[in-house]
Amino acid sequence: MSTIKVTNLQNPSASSAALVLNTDGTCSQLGVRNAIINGNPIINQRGYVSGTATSGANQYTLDRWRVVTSGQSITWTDSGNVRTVTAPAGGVEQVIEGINLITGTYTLNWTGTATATVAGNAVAKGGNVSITGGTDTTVRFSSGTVSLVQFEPGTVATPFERRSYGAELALCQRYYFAKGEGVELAALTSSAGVVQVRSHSSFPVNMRAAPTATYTYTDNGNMNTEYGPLTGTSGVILRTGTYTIGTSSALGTYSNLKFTAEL
Amino acid sequence: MTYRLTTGNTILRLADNAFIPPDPANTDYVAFLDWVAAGNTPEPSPVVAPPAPLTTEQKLEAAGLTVDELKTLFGL
Repeated sequence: MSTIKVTNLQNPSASSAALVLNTDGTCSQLGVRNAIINGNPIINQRGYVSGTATSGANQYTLDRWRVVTSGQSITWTDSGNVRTVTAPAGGVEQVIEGINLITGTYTLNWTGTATATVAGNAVAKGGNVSITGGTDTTVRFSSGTVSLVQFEPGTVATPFERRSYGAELALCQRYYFAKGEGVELAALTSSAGVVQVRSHSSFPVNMRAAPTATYTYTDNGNMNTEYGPLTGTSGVILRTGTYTIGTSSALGTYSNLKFTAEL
Repeated sequence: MTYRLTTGNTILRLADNAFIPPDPANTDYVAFLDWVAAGNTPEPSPVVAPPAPLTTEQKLEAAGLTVDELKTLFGL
């Protein structure tokens, strides 16, 4: 057994190293590095339309990205499955959950003309910042184009990390989940008297916190005012109001269900 | 921004009819607590009247029986 001691592995024809071996024994290019979620922001569960003015401060648009100033918007162009966003003057930002950060030096890199801050401090492309582990940290881009955002441990900006669409979507769903299918709650004719119909739905991934829920609810007239969903981090209980079963069945339908546990 | 208490432990945000769970990690719930701490008061939970009890006739109908059938059943 022998040890090869080098600092970089680089093709002679390449302009940068394919692998940089750090002095602390780690290699920045290995493992899941990018703490930014939806860094190539093609995931859009909210169905945000490019150029739509926001109606409130810190309104979320593309998954995990929020427009800071009310009334401003983001626009984008797509090319080769790379989405380039134009950030407004007030900025578009992502809050990285502290649980995903470990104390140390991080490097921020992106493509485009936008300027950036991390926790309010200006950072140049490929610039380093010191991060306190466990602390929510905001990365903001302003007044220019931005794509392929990467915020990674270490002092070297490495190539943008490619994650599968499914993996990236799952990461996003920790913070926001839009349920595509409606949920019907039915009670058949019965002599059971007063009942309340409930149904449990699991989330695709556990959410960061018990989420806030919005929805549309309709019924066939036999169910009275619904009591609203009961959410936990792993799922939701949908319920009707209490009602008296008469001689006809009752049917309540939840649709357009959206769950938010953003930072 | 105004809120209404519900029959459960969730908070209804009236601006967008969003149900907010009482989870301290939920930023909407934190905003609600801040709103209350600022001296605001949520609307009370609506009083939901209990459903009217079934009449004997309704119970029979729900069971698929008529009064005549019941009389026949008991030999009356």
